[in-house]
Amino acid sequence: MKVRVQLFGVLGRKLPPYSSAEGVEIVMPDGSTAGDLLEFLKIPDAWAPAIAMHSRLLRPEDMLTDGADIRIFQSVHGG
Amino acid sequence: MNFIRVNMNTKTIKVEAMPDEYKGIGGRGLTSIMINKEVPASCDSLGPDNKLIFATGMFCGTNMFNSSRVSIGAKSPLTGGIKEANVGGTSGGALGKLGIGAIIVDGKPKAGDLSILKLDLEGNAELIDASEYKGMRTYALVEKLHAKYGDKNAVLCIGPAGEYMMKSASIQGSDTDKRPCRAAARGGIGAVMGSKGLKAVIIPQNGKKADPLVDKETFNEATKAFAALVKANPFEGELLPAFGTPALVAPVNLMGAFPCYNATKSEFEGWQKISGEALANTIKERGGQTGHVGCSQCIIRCSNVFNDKNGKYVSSSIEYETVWAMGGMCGIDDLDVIARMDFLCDDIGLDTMNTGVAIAVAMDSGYRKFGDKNAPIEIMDEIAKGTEMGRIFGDGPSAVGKHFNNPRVAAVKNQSIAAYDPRGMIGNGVTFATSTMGADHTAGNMVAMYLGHILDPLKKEGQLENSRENQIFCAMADSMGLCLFAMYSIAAPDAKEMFIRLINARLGTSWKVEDLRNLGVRILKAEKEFNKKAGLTAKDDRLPEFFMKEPLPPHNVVFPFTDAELDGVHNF
Repeated sequence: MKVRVQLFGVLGRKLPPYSSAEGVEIVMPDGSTAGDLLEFLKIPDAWAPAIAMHSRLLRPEDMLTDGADIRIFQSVHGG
Repeated sequence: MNFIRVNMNTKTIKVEAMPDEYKGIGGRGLTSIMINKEVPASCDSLGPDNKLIFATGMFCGTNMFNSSRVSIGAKSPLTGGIKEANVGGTSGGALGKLGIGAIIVDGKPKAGDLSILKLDLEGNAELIDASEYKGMRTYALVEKLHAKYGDKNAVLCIGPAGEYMMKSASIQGSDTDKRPCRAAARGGIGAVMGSKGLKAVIIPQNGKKADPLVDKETFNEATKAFAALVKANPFEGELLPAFGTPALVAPVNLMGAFPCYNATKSEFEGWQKISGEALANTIKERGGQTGHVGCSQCIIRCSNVFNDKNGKYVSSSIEYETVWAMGGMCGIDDLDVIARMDFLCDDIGLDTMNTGVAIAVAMDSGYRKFGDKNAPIEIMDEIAKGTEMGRIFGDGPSAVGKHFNNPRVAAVKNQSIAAYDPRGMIGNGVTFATSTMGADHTAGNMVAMYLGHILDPLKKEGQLENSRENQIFCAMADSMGLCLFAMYSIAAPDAKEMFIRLINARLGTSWKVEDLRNLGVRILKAEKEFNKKAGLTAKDDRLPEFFMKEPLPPHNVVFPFTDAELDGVHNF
């Protein structure tokens, strides 16, 4: 499957190629999950990543959809 | 700690030791418990019987980091109930270093009378005639006050909106760069200050009369450990200094919960032009500053300084809620317009959220088109001049909705919601509806629970209970004089125990962890009691009807909770 990935915030600075407005298309094995994507990108839990697809937050076990735009940012508080 | 009681009718000032019943309470706890006890709930909020209380948080005046927030409380002319708004900058720490627990202002002078309250290094105060500053905007005012009384003073002040007693009027506080760009924004607290004929409070920052720490060694050790927790957190340690609170623009849009075009949509098509990332890039290109220290003793540095294309200062600090209110809600995807509006709100003395939403309601009513970049600036000019339309806008979104006969007003108890649609983050909707303060983003915000997968933002399960606990937490946190971002680190393992060590080393008390929650519950109960006496009922704890009637794309859901469910939120 192919997904387009865009990173925000500090994640974008840590992995600059993924911070462009267009994002980066990557190929993942069919059936890949959100957790697989984080592993592929080498984003550790300590960076507090959160993944959005189709206006929904994904859990690590949630499957990615072929052709989807995936946005990854960091968990934030409001205030 | 001392209280300074100021009567604006007789122009008398009395300094007294803090009564025993209030010892160990600070900030919002102090303002709310005092107001519930001392202010007749049925009084005219702009009349002589209302009291305007400035209360330092429990850690103000100590060497604790991020400990410079002062709570300002009164009966609100906007909500009709109790109000506490707190502000960072320099004033909270300055008051704490003078050993001042609270300044309580009551009475009302004759019409047109205007004064400044000036404190000295002994913790005494005097009233000075301020007629020469009448009608002055806050930036010019603070510059003149610093020139006359010395620029080492912290200043709390009102602009024209406060003097007009507009219901969106803020009290502005000076930051570390001496600019009045920090706001106790909400609830029309600036109108109460205006009704007291009080233009400004001047506070020396180099006081040496703070109450001594009971156990300095333990306090310093726990402070250092707590600071390490804050710095280690990716949000406080990395994200906020890099992008400030506008880091929220991306996540909230991508969750379909960013109210835009007066809450008719939830993902703003222009959000990448006004995101935290775009803001940081623009600031860098123009020689502004991210990671700015806006508040005394801050180690988080969430503030920023925004310059125009020529590198000239425009405003500080551009916050998420302002980006939303002046940007998404009005359909404006231009950071220069948003920054200009931020400056004008600070300068005139207005809540950016209430004002932005008021403009959005007017746009939704056909007064101007969404996306019209000139309209907000023109409206601000009307507000500053106090014209008939300006006064309607200055009274906030409910007044504008009433004027245009438009029921689509995103407000609770007349106070605008913040930047989270109650249909896309339903727990935030619960907080907006039931908060004692009216809709408020600092009264029990759930966004971190959604991003951390603790709750699903669209499912009812767990929302009511977590809104209640967040409201209790925020009431407690607002009493400490610490910024909310620093307080969030209390969620780390063993952090609560560490925080209790800080409190006990500060006060010589024997608090336990459960006493933190007990304090929050005590504050909310006092606030509920006051609101009930003031005539607010369960019907005031409701979202506007359109949130229950109009499905929000892309999720196409409405706010799902029943009245009975909302009524159970505060059953402690």
